[in-house]
Amino acid sequence: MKKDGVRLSRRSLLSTAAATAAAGAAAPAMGQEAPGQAQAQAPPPRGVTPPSAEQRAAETAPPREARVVGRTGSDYMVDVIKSLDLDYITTNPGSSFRAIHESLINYGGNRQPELLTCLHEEIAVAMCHGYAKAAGKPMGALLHGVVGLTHGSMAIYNAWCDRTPIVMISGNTIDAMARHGATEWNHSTQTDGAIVRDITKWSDQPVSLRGFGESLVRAYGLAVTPPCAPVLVTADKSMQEAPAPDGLPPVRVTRPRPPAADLGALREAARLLARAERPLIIADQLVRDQAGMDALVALAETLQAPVIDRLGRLNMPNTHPLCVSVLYNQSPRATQLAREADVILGLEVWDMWGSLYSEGGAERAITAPGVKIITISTNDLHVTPNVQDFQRYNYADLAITADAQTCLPQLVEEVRRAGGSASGRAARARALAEANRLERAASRRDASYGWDASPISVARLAAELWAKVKDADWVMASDTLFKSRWPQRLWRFEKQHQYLGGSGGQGIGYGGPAAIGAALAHRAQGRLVIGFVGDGDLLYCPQALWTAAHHRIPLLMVVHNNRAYHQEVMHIQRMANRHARGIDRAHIGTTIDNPAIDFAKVAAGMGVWAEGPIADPAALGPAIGRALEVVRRGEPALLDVVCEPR
Amino acid sequence: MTRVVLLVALALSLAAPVRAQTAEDAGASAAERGRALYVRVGCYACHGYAGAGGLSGPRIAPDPLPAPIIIHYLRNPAGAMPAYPASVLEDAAVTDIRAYLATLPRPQPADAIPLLRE
Repeated sequence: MKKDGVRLSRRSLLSTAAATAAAGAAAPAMGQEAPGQAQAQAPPPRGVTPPSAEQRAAETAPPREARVVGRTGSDYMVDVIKSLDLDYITTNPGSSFRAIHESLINYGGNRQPELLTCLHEEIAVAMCHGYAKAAGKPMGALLHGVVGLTHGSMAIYNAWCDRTPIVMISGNTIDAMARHGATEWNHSTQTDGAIVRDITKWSDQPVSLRGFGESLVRAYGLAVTPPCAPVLVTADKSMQEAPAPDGLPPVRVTRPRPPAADLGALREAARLLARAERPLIIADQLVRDQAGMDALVALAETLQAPVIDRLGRLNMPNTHPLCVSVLYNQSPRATQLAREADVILGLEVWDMWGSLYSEGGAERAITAPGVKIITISTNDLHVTPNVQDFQRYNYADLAITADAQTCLPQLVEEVRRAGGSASGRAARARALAEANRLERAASRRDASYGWDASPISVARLAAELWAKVKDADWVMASDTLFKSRWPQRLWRFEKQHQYLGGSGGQGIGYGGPAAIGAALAHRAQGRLVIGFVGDGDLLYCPQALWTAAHHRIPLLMVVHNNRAYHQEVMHIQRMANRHARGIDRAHIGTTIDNPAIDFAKVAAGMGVWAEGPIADPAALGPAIGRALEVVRRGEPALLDVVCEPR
Repeated sequence: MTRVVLLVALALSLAAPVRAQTAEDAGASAAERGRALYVRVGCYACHGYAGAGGLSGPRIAPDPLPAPIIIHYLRNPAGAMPAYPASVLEDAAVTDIRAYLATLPRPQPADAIPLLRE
């Protein structure tokens, strides 16, 4: 290399650059030779400042970080990660796990798992959440010590409440003497697990590589065993970066079977159900796969019992004559059925009390005196002393602590054996089928109101979407509660994978990244995944769209844009009414307007095709058509639709 | 003393009822005034801009109940409906809101809308 008439070797240039940078000097560097040869060197050309003794010492000192040749601790950690059969691992990069990061992409070849770049740890975890429910298996998240873990904690809480497995690894520098600089102290803990201990099933901070291997496979098994939940294993930074000792044994994952009920308890439940004149089934976070849905249908049909689907998952086909839909806890028809029932079976019902009691005014049971309550759930295996997601205590005549989906085939068998009145069941079936038919007709009638209004009614939006997606293999990947359940009221949800339930913890920020995670899970099958997210929800992490664009994850993201945190508008309104003052000020601090956010521009800035804001209902159908063309090409697309609040 | 006067004035302004007619909309019809009031006092929040209802409130248009019944219910609501006493929403304002709701279009039968046919 030649510069200003002086020939420089690459090596000498680098060493000189380091020396001048250390001294803060602006003088051009030239003529320097490798350390150790400088004394024999001719004087530098005129105009060049020779290096000081300090600079020479810095140049000739041994490197602070020894070069590790061969297998590193992080390579071994990647071997363990690969044994878990994770297809993907999300991350926002952080120095506390830099060696694992490097080992994943180089030693591990960036395959099984492939590293996905996320622009916030809440996105990294929420993507795992949506993916796990859609794929039926977890993926991993790499989280930076303290700061990354804390950023991700909201999404971890949602996954905890939603009983969803996520395998999380955080970086930490356990040995204080190994921490370089103030920042590394700020990003270290005595134990990372303490930050999220109340909302993880298990966490560990092993101090040997063998310990890391055992901890990670143990964590995986715990995460995927119902009740499923996130787990965290911390990887010590020093251990990641040091050479791996020889002779580390390979680890194998134990895949535990879900906890099942004892046969006696199931027989007792079957006897009560078979003898019931008006049995009722309530299902919530129950079904994990199509076999689970089929088993629930078999139980309902054997008993000819109505099933209230609370939609923690898609448990029952909504077109089935025995399916009873609810908006949230209850509906007039569901309440009537609960009032009439003589035996009620709750299957993985998160809030059984909420289904059986009325909170309006005086708290009172809506069930008849003498009703028998049976529950099958893993609820009691999913409690921690601090967070209160375990809900109100509810008495049960027969409480079976077991994974309800696992129990269903045996319960169906026992109900068939127990017999019961066939004529009574047939009459019940006819009445329920007619009620279901009338309910669906009422939904179509209700959807016609405000059909041509602007802002666009959510019913109109749901109907326009349905017309365009119904012939595809589609998935509604977002919670539909704040859309007044219009998709469930107008669409035909008949396969288990078509709906994933909600966030679990009702912490917003879930919708966008979880839908992208679900779309990733369905990408290989070519399914059309629809994210239907609120504007306030998407604004927690709009940069999730970039991850969809960057990793070419196709999905249609529809923004239900009511330009407000609308739930809170109603809360403030309620307080203003209660206090009889300021009823026209509920918009202060609750609305997202003036200026209205242009989601199409936000999405375009992230590299995502987008249209909007769409406020004319007549423009909606063509816009959906254009967006779906993009999605069918394998890319994400976004539509910003200015909608009614609910 | 000045601070006390200001606080009293602020309290009175916060508690002032929403009136049917202000100087700005003196020339407007009852339905036009009602449309603005419907949004301003938050009816839309639960019942929707088109009064079609949804998750949080029932449908209230295009055939609103008679004004005396609405007024009685607003003063003495049941369930999730918040109370609107006369001190925050005058009877005349409620009547204007009702006039607006009565102007909202009646929908076509669902079977006449292609996207809503079974």
